[in-house]
Amino acid sequence: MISKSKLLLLILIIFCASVFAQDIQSFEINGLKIILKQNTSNDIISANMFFKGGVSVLTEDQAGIENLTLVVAQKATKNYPKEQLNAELESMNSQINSNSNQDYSSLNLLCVKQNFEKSWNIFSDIILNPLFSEDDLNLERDKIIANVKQVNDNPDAYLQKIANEEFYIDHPYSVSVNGTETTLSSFTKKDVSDFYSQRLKTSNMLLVVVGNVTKSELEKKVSESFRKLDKGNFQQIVPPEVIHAEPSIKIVDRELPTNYIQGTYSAPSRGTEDGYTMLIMNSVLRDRVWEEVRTKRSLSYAPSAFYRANFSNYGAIYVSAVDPDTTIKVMIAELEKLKNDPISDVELRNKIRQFITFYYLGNETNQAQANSLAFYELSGVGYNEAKNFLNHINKITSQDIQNVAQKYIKNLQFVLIGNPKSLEVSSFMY
Amino acid sequence: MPKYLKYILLFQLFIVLSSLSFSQKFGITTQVLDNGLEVIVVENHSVPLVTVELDVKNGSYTESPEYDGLSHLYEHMFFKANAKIPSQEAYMERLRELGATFNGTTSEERVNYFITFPKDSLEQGLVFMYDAATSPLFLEQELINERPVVTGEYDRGEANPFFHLNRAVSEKVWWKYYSRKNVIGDREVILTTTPEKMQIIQNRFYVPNNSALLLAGDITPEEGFALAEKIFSEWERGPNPFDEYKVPEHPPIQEIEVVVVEKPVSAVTMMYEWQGPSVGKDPKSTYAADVLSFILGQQTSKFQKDLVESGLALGVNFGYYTLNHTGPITLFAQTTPEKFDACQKALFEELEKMTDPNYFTDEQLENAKTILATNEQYARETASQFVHTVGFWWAVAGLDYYLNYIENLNKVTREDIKNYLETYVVNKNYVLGVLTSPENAEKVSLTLNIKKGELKNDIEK
Repeated sequence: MISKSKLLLLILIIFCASVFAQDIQSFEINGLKIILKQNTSNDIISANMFFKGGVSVLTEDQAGIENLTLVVAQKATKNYPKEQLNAELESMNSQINSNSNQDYSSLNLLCVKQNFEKSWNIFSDIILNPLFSEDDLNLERDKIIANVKQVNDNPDAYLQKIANEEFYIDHPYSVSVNGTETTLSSFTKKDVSDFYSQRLKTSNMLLVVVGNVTKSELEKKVSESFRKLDKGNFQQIVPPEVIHAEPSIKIVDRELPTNYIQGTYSAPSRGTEDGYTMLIMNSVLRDRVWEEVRTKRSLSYAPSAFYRANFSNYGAIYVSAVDPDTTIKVMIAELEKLKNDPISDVELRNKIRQFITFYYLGNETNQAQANSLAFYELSGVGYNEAKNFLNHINKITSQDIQNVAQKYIKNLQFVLIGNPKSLEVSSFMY
Repeated sequence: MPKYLKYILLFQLFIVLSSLSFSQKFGITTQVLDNGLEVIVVENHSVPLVTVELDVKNGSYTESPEYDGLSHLYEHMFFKANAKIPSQEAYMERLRELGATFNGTTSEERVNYFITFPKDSLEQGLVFMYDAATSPLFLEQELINERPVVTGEYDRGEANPFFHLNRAVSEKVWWKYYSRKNVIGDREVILTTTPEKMQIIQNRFYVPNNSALLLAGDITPEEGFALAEKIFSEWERGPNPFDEYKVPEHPPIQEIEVVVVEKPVSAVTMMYEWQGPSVGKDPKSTYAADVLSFILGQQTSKFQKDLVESGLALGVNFGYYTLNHTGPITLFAQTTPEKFDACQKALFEELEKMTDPNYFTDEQLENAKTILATNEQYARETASQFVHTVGFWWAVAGLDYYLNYIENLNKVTREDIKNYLETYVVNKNYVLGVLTSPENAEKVSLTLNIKKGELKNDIEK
């Protein structure tokens, strides 16, 4: 007989699959793939144009060019001079911004339904006809350079930067998304403009819209805007997995009241069987390090574990602690426990139940749902995987978790920023 | 059933429905229990989750120096043993059983606790919140364990250069009653606190008539009110804490003050702060303040054009933080060491121009109102976050303030904005904090020392 809690879980999963499966459609216009999820429960529309490839399509000298290009593109277009573009967006509070990460970039529009027509016209003109004026380029470049420099001022942001650099040595991801002062300073108006022309091919792009829009409405708009664009011939890029043969630690000496520490390990990409298991394993690990480090031993305010969402991926343990040796020993003991001791059925069932809550929280907005659909599509597993998510999670067993822990958690690449009174480097060699 | 009885029942149903729809706006419906607990239901069925949030009128504003930081420490202790759950480990286990995520925050005038779970955990989740709110044990050992955790949070704050800028400015702006604005608190007070002090905080502030229970997400008002009544009606009403423990009024800043904070940073950050309105005393100015902030945030505004588009500043922001016991008005600007001198001059020129009738257009005034209203619409999309906003307004300004917010923003005129600036900013004392690297500190100080008098005169013209 099925238990009450299992039955409730099953009902929740069925409900959830049906909620997320509703009205997701995909179609193509002039080589541009479009994913539409019609959501009639609110009047907010999220429309996002993604550019595939991320840093894998950049050389080292081009570090930061895509991010800079998309930021400058939003400033003025052929049909919307700067003043008019800003005034029209402000009068509607329609928001356009860009985002770049290691795997892809995007231009994003958020607006309310009654302003969709007018907002789309501006959004599509930004994509089709950006001006890239010299003044805008210089102004935005200065701001980005200042931001790049300021990463070093904040120990948390700096830790992430160094951890990323140490993990992805000799990998496409070693090219910085935001660029460096040197690369950013070198880009001319022509560089930016040429780069964008080469990226503006429909096979390079993906449009994801979530909101109260019908298919015919969207088809009409996309066709009017993008039917004349070149298709190009983009081929899916799969960045290689990272394998570290030895554990390591990099220590960055800095006078701080506490030490910021992260140990990273190779992890499967999301959307794979191991990836789903890793999500639950990481969530179990996060709870356990919290309990052992914070609750029981008061060694830190912020012990954690996370699992990134890159196509070539890593997981990590993270902590800020005055006593790194003791703290890391406790955290590593938890890694060992995951590998050696199967988690109980009760812990697994509760964890999955809790994870469903996290999942919904991450999908509350139309923008978040659009990002989720795009992630699966761009990673190569297909947008439909978004609605299968909870079915995969529900199948995970205690043995799967142990297997994944044993397979991936090894050769941790540690970074420590701070100035601890003592440090046993051997404690970090795991 | 006799016909007249049917009519009576229908009439009663009409009354209930009328009272619900009367108070309902933005999917928000409220009811007050007999013990004074305000129950607020925020209906949003987009995902099958419910967030339960408890808001308490507590925070740094209730803290005399010997309690500096203890509202925040109490918030940490909330997630520990109570009469029904023997330890923090058991507490966490119960949360996992419920499929729940949880957290809490402490700010100047509000402490909130929230858990989000699948809808089928609703009743048990409410019981869980009730036990935590009404029967904490404050075990000595759990308190001892928690102190280094809170100081660990403190360490992380101190590792961030902006923490030092903010503290240096705040200590001068709120010079007489700094503990009333110092949320993170005083290390020494945190390290020496006792279970008795925690108990005192509970007895004073954790009473239903000083709290609100918010239920947001996949829930109807009828369900929410019925469950709140069932589970929370036994919570005993207490005296109104603010009858006995008055919050003192912050005296004005005595003179213009400048403080330079040296940390290893690449940019130069300026933070000007004035004492602004208290929402209970001058709500009209708070609406004007918000509209002005959103005029100045527009890319088309003179403020952004003269300062950011000119290349003088990397970013600027002029804003007011709504509080009931004097909210701060803060102007942030960030620039490079090379442009510091020109940037701070330009900032003062902007402040001088702000009361000019042509400083902003009618269109920008209307856009600001649209932006504020649409931001609210965007915010309501996320029930689990929106509930924090509703709870904040309940604690700081009262729910009616929020429910009528958009309507009152639409009434703001140019004259209101001018009055706001003249009452709180123009010719008023302020504190300027500058965050810079040690290498640039001398240059920055030299610039400020030479021009300090001029700056004051400039704004007093």
